[in-house]
Amino acid sequence: MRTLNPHLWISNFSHIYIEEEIIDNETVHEITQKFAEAKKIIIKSYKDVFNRNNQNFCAQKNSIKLILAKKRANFIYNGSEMCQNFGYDNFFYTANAMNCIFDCEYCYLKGMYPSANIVVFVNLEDYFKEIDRLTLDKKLYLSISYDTDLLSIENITHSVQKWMDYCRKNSHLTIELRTKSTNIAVFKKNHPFERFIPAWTLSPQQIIEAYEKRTPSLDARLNAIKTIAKNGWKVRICFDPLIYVKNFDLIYGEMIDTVFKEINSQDIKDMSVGTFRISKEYLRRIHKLQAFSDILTYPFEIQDGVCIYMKKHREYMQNYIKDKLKGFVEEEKIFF
Amino acid sequence: MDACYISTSSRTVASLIIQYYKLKKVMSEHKVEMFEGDFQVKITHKKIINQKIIMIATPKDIYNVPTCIGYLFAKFPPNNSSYFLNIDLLSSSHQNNCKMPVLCNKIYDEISSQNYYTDILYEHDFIEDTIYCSICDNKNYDVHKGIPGDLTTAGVFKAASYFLTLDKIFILRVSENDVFSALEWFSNVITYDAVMRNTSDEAIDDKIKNTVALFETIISNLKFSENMKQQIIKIFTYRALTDFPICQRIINEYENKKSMSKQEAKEYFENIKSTLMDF
Repeated sequence: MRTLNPHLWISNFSHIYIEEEIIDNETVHEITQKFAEAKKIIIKSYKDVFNRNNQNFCAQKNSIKLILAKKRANFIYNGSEMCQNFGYDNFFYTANAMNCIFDCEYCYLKGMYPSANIVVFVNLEDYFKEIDRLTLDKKLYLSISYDTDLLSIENITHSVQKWMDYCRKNSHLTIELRTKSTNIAVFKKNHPFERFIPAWTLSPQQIIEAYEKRTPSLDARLNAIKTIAKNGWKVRICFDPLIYVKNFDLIYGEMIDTVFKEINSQDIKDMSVGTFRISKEYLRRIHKLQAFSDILTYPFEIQDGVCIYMKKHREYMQNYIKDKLKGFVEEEKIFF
Repeated sequence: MDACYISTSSRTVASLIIQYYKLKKVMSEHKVEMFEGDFQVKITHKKIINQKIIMIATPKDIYNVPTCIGYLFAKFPPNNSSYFLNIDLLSSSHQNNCKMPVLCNKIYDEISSQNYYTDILYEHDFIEDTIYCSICDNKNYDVHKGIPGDLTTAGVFKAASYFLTLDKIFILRVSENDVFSALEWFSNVITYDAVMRNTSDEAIDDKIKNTVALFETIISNLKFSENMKQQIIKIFTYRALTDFPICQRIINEYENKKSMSKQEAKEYFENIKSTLMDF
């Protein structure tokens, strides 16, 4: 009879898959040197590994592999209508990485990608060329960390530093970096500038414990914000997604009190608030992975292919948060 | 009972697997040689679960192996907790270089010129390597020195990955002396998975699953249309996860009820729905 062996998962990044075309790329060398013990496997295209049929996203989350690749087309995408544009006209997003080291139960990436492995595109210079072209005659607002959490893997990729350096030079570009990470070294060693916006997603500690596996605690996120605010960075706070739970007002109300007890509202550039929403198709796929998730089994309304909370809950959540925030920040700083 | 599968084309390995898991021949099976046995996993002091181990002895030719693997899964259908191990002896050319067991992380199939990648998620002490799969057994060994050669791996992998997710498929090449240690590792993986499933969120899910299943039985007496059923089960599942007592109350209230007409079914549906949606 067998009893449990306490730990069998191999650590994250035990294997690095590298596209043969970029074997000699400098960034690839830098990354692989950090994982000297990792098994390196040469591949033709990242899609051969990332897009395989019949992968188990949830199992792979226990031992995430790294895939180093070259992005060949579609560097920049139009901003999704499901995301706020914060008043900027030309809202775009990009992804020089796919997937995230965190494991949030509600994350749409589980429905979007067939694999939990992380793809890092190492040819950032090609992204920059494309943005140069797009910003010749207009200003651009670009989110660089929607389909990933770039800051959480900054020690591996140094992408945030490269984006920051590029953004500083391109005066037509404003970048938002959204994160739950507390890996803030890059913000400590760089002077702040207005066109690079660090944006933290905050959730109540109860929500973090229940649904945001492997993410830093609320306190840790607030400490990270406080630290970079001391260095002069103006921060965006994102209460997004708001999750409908029992005692929503108590749980979220307490979080907002904590946030403004810890953070000076003068250090906040603006705030975004959004209730949980997800594309119908992604939800269908995630259901197969997590059939008994209380977030995902909610009886959503469907509007233009997007699952949203029932109107009564949506309005209740938004109004509650709006009223609560009004006591702390100017209304024009809050985006819904 | 959950089933885990092992395939081998080696008589030597097969006899060692039979010995290790104390397998018995499946007497009803005449097309392919299959053996089965039980494997016990201790979840807690009080809870022990039985897993079935099924071994298939496949032929060595490239075309029949995938058919046999398909036949195995058709005969004993897998579920989400099924694992599959393909274990065979190291090719002689590889044994000349190194006799360490090899866990396959990549398969190159010469016929289709395609690469296949396995998922390596569990700790192990094996060497990891590519298996070069060629229709002509020895043709490319000189070109691909150090890479264990094989006739059937690509077919085995493709067939198994049709039925199971990639994290549950392992391909091992070992020398005769390492068969037991390889099986020991496979057993550890099965055990780990079984314990995790039975002690984590999935165990909680079972309580919900059973309640939802009971609710499904109850509403079958209420003669709901397919659309009504789907709607109500979805809401019921959400409420079972967030407010279990209300679901218990609904079950108690409706377990002995039956609809005699469409009108009555509609009334029951509206009543249950309004109770469930009141949150």
